[in-house]
Amino acid sequence: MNEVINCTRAFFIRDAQNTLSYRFDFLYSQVASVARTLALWLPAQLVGDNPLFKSHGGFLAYSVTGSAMMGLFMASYGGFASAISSERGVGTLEAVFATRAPLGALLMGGSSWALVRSLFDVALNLTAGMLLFGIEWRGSVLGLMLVVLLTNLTFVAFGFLSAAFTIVYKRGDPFRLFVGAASALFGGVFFPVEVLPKMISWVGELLPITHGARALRGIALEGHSVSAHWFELVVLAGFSCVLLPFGWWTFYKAVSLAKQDGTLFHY
Amino acid sequence: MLSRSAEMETSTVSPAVEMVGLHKHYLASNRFWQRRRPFAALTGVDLRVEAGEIFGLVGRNGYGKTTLIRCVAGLIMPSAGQVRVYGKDTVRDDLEVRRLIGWVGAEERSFYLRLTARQNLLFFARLQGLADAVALARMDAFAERFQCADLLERRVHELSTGNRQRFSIIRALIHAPRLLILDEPTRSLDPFAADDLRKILRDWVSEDARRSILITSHHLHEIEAMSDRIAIMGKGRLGAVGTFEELRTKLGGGQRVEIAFQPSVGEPELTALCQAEPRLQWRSNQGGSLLFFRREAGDEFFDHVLRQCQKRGFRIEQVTTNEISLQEMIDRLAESSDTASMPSQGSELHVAV
Repeated sequence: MNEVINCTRAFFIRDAQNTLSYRFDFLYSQVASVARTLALWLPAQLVGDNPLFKSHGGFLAYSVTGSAMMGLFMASYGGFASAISSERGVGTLEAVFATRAPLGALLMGGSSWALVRSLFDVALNLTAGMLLFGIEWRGSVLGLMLVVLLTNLTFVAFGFLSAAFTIVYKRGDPFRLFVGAASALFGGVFFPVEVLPKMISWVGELLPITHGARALRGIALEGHSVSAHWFELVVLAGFSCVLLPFGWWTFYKAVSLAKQDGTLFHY
Repeated sequence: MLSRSAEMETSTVSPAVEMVGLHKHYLASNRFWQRRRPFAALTGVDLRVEAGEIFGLVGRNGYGKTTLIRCVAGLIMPSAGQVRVYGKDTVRDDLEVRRLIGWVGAEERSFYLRLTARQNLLFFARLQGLADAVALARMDAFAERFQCADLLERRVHELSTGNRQRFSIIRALIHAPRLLILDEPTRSLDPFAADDLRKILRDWVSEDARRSILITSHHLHEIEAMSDRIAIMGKGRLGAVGTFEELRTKLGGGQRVEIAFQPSVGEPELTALCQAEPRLQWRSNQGGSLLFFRREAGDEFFDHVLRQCQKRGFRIEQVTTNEISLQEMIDRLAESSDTASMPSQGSELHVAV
């Protein structure tokens, strides 16, 4: 465990140093992130006081939450694969794999900076929503953290699968379609699942983000207690219990396969 | 978990590297829709590198040197056979093996270019489990030794290829490994820096009897000068292993004799002589021509050639004899492996996968 923590620290410091070596990158990316939140003001004017969003505090509150959530979860999802691709592109993957760092540490460490940065983005977006649009965030912070953690774990599991795919096939990621596009379309991220045609709205129930978004909005925007969302929490825990070990096992097998093929460091 | 004394005992009796029946084949296809077929990179390699030894690996491009050392470093898995490093299996005990190994690969872009050399070294030292204070102290000591202390605070993209190479060797040494694996370590160094590096590496091995170096290089004089033993690789297998003198004996030994002629001796005459005497070869040389052949101990062929030249009226300018070089040994081995029934690099080999 100590090794994992030390390696994660090493990766985190390295990525922070690398980011800060580009003087304006960090600053501009935060400005862009807030600008994306501001841009939601325009569709909010078009949607107006649609009753679909009323219980969620209006379209702006709904979409700002959805956008922040999606950003965080996709960072958790894509962090592992992009860490591997980036090391491979820079040419350092072989040198990293030649160290005694365990596989888990390489994976977790490599994505730690992206995750923290995206948490920072979320905080910034929610603050911007509060200050600029007067969105009111309610509910227990601990409850929110629990929902975010459980939802995030399912995305981490899909992230392992995506990293495994990147290790073996180098490019192209079939899981991104499922996790990214399907979540955005059917998961109630930017609009409620109730607007979907009945015959496809059930797809949303199969996606972890639907349950995460429902619980998160219930707590953050409607002020529900955590216990009011016990079903969503159980579903998310179930997803995590099944997907995490499977994702990890798949990643481990992918690395073994690439070592057998001799293609681990191929680009 | 071995106790410290048990570990010491293991390390004193175990060779640095031990390979038994190592096979490695890759799967490849040229087109997307083609089924991937195995081709052999290594076939049945048995090798033992003793602790305290500098072991050189030479051979032509594509003969499997890098595949072999990557198997030792646990960066690729053998298709069959076993590789042990100080008694530890490179597949089963891969983390233990990586702790024992310092790796200097042939990849030139192995650093984060935006970070300074110190930041890079510290990152890799942390991955090796070193505390920052220890890593920094060792880094400074090595940088002094490699005469690059003044470059530590420079970003890597500002460094020359040679200086990056020095830092990749420091990176490989910083966690105090026992086996240093070097793939073409002096390829980007100037002759003086290369000499310094060779001296540092020799000193590093001699400081501790348990340390070893496994080195590949195309600078054959470097391998000849540094290595206690040398392995010459044929296509995918070890052609010959031994000290330089042993190899010379094994591969026929002898001398290379070169006879330089005056310009009056032309191509047709030399071609005719070479056709009559198959052991002879000729080539143009700075306005004249040069006849050359390998002379075995107690060989009377030299006298025979001189008589032939005299008979044909060839005017000899100079005769030189040289001990056979490592390059000639590699050539000779390559020629013999070309004719032997061995799977060539890239040729298909049907191996059970």
